Amino acid sequence: MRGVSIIGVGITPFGVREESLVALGAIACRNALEDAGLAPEQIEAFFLGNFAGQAFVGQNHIAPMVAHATGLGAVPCTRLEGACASGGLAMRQGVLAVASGQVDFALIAGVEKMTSAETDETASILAAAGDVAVEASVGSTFPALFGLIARRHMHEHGTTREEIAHVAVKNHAHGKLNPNAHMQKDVTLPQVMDARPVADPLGLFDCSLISDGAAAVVLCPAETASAHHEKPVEVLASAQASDSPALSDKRDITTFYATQKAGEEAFSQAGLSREDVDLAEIHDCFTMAEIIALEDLGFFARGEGGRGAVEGMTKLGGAMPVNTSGGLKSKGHPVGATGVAQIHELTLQLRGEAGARQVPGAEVGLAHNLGGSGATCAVHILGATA
Amino acid sequence: METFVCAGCGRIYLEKSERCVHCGSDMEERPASGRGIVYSFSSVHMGAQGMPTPYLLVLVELEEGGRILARLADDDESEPSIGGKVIFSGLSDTGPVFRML
Ligand SMILES: [Zn+2]
Repeated sequence: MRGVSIIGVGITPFGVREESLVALGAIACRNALEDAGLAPEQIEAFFLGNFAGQAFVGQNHIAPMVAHATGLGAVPCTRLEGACASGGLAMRQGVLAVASGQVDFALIAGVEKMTSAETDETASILAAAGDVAVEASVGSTFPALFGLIARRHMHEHGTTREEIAHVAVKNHAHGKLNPNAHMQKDVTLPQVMDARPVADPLGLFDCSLISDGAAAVVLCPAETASAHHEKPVEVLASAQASDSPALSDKRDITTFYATQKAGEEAFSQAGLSREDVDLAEIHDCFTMAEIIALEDLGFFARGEGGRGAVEGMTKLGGAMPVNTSGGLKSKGHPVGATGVAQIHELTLQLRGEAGARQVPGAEVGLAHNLGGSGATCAVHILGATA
Repeated sequence: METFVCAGCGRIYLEKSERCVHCGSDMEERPASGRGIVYSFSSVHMGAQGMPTPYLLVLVELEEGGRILARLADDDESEPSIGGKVIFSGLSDTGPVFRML
């Protein structure tokens, strides 16, 4: 297997968008191609992350449609679905296609259009990312599953409601600095703590946003990357793992086994330790999820993840800023786009192009993308050009 | 209470079926006391489509082992707690229902 580098990234602003599902994907793809200085016909494989085109806007089979709208021609197109990790899976398939020598130029995109559905309809569409037979049928939604998880984590590990709420405050403070974020404004601790309950202990500001948006990435072999971009970003690890989504199948619901496995595999591939990571994009579909992921990835001991946002280690200016983009919480969470948007943010940071939210001297970044209640996890580690 | 346990994946069902809905393996009947404890719970205020809110979800650990997701009975006004004792009270349109003991 050969090394793989990122030579182009593109994104659409996240939020309530007028463009169609397919057009959003094509806009992000064209931005990424322009950044890479490539013509569409140079792309040899296209991988697209999309969770629920059919359910949200009545359209499936969108990989060849986005490819056509981007002008890619007859290139092989594959859509990947792994719930909220769909984008991370697309990224990994692109990395494998280039690493194996099968293609030299791969385009990866992720897209979702969610805001045209009603809120309770959206809750039901998202609930199908869990085990419908034993969970959604009983009335569980994704906030409810993470409410059960948060309550148990508080009980077993002493995590406090306030620690959980601090994650929202931090990520909104970051997202305020991201011109592509859905909600570019601060929230206060009392606003989060006193918000309307969704599934207690989680309230409205503990939940990520329902957004439209797309992101894209262009990959090529590491050895030729500098011919295409002056600051290529190398993919140091691309790992993936799985578990049952059903909470009743898990021995311990305060941890996600798939994150632990994908994280271990990623650090082993990259030959790096936790201390080497300068910043991370962590899948904060709910505030609680960021705390659990920080523990599962080994950045904090079990029960200590809540300290990150409270004591400032995971804030901009801290030892390892987490979700400088604003995360799913503030940047927004167009489900299929999220995993690719994380790669977009890390790439900007590792090139030194992240503007007001730049982490000075960032050399290594980690992206953690979680599907549903932990059934799919993709972890990527990226490195700046020395 | 009668439970049906999958010989393959270990999932617990309260309704009899020929094969496990999840994995297709054979099922074994297992008598159960109907008693369990609350492993976790959440009061749902913004629910799934067509389900009136609020309602209380409980992840119940059965006395005989294994966990199932259920609802606390609508007219049960006791405050649930992790480790609190519950008893099976029947099956509804939304699956198993328990009461606090
Ligand atoms: Zn089974």
